[in-house]
Amino acid sequence: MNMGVLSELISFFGGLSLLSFGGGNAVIPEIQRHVVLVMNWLSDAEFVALYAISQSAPGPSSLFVAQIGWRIAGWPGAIAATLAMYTPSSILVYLVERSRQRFREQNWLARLEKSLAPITIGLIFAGGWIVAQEVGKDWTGWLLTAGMAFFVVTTKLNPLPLVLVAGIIGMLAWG
Amino acid sequence: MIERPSLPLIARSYLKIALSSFGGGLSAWTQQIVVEEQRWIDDREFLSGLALSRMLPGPTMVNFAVFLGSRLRGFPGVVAALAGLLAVPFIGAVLLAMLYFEYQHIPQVQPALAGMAAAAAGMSIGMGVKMLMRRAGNLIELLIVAAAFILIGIMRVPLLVSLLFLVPCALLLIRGETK
Repeated sequence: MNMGVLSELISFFGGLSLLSFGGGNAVIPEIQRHVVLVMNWLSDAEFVALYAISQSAPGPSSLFVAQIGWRIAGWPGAIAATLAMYTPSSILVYLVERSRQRFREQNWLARLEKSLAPITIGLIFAGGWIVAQEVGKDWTGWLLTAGMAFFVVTTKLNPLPLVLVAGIIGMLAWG
Repeated sequence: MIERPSLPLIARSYLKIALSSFGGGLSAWTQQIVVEEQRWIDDREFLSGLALSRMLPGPTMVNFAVFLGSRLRGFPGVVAALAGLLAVPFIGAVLLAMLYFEYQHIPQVQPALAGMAAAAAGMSIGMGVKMLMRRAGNLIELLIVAAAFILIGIMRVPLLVSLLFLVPCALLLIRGETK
């Protein structure tokens, strides 16, 4: 097993864990930048495919990192990437929860959240944009993206059936 | 909280949450099982835990599992909740990745996944629009949304560098009238 690759996975996802304000979807642009553009661990098509799979599969969509880790270094890579992604942030939540009495009177956390929210929203748009332009090579792709965004904004229904329909449309249009 | 639930019950409940949440909806299922079924916490505690999970870094519902596990049973509760939430989906995610790399050469596979990715990207954009609509967004907030999008989505500046610029700007510009 190549320990160099494992330690690179751990340092990248471990650092990302503490930068992932706004949750898993907010770090999609940085994962794509590092994994596809900088390290060439995955091709554009592979990145998009794993993104689609992890967004539809049960459980947290951030398990995307397990799939990336597996591709790069097999099961050890999957385990290393997953532990690195979740451990630092989980320790932080645990410490804050333990000391919540002290935090109760302070509103700096709420202040921080208010300031970070617009950044998070911009990051989520960036993640959607990066994937959309990758698959939006013709109007079919853009129409699927726009239609789904409209559906999510206007209804509260589970979007998964529509994601599967989009898969069939993609197969018919591009297959 | 009346009595402390056992660790296996915490893990089993979280497994149920994980397996129910096809295509998102993790927070809705967490609320359903933790608040409605098990009655471990009430709605108010759920919302304050969710707020904490959102403002700290890390995937939101994983953070919430840490929060709830810690509140119910301390550190062992955290381990039980995370194991329940992550173990089976982790194996599932890797098996699906294996299937993909095994069959990616079949001509229909990549187009189908590209179609799903286009829709999932729309899902994410729609989520961002909803978050934006929920806030009484003023011009400064919109400018910060745009700045974050352009820096990271268009110019592809590394996240750390972008945050070192964006967070101080946001803290200075957005006056925190907090609850």
